[in-house]
Amino acid sequence: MDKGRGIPRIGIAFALVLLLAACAMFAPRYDATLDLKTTGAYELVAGFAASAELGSYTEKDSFEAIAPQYANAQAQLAVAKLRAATLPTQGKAAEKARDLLVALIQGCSDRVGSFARQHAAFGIQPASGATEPMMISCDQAAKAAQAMKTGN
Amino acid sequence: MADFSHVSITSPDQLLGLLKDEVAGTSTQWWAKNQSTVSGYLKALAAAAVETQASLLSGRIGEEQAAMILADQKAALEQTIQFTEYMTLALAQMLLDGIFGIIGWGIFNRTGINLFPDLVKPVA
Repeated sequence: MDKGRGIPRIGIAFALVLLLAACAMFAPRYDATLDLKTTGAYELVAGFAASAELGSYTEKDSFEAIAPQYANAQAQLAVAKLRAATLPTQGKAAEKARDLLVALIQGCSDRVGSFARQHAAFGIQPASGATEPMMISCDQAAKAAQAMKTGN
Repeated sequence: MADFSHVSITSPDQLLGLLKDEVAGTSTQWWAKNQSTVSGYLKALAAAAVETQASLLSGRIGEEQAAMILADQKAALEQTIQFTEYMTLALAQMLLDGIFGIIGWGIFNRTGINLFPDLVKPVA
């Protein structure tokens, strides 16, 4: 074998391996817009939960005044979901991570929707266990959106 | 699965203990791996479930709303499993990025060639 020709090939192969390794093989790269929108929605959700636990939503009539804030949270989550669904990935593991990220954001949106429907239909009683599912789902979505930040 | 047909829940701690035993009993390996991520969420969900039970018992909420709340608690628990899966993959990517970030900086500092612009970001 011609060593003079073999070394550049090895070098090219090594560089390709390095480039491949640098790709998002296990999870998509951090996306600032995704983080901003998911965290923004989570902050609104925390406000809904705090108000509910303080007794501000016990009457269903209180829904109308808050409805635009629910819509704002859902709009931010819709942007985040689309952003997550279109993140570039490399390989099946990263595709799975992207699908999980989308599912976590969708879960937060579903819990906000359910909470808003309960608010409109019944009102929310403090200490009734209604706020926790929404807080947990949206906390996980926000943490997932921020997870790759330290990698940058 | 253990028989819970006569269980009576009186406190969040009691429910949390039962939940932890059930999860650990189903998969010791999964519980050992994910305990630190899941414990806080499990505790919050146990407290929420006891609150819902007490609210239903006292008549502060009706059956229809209690069913909606419990369905949301179940969905949040299911999502917690997805969250652990995602965080495992994210951690793997961070490890990869950490290792190749070091290699990338090493090559860049010696050659001036940036092979990993996503990982190596020199200040202009």
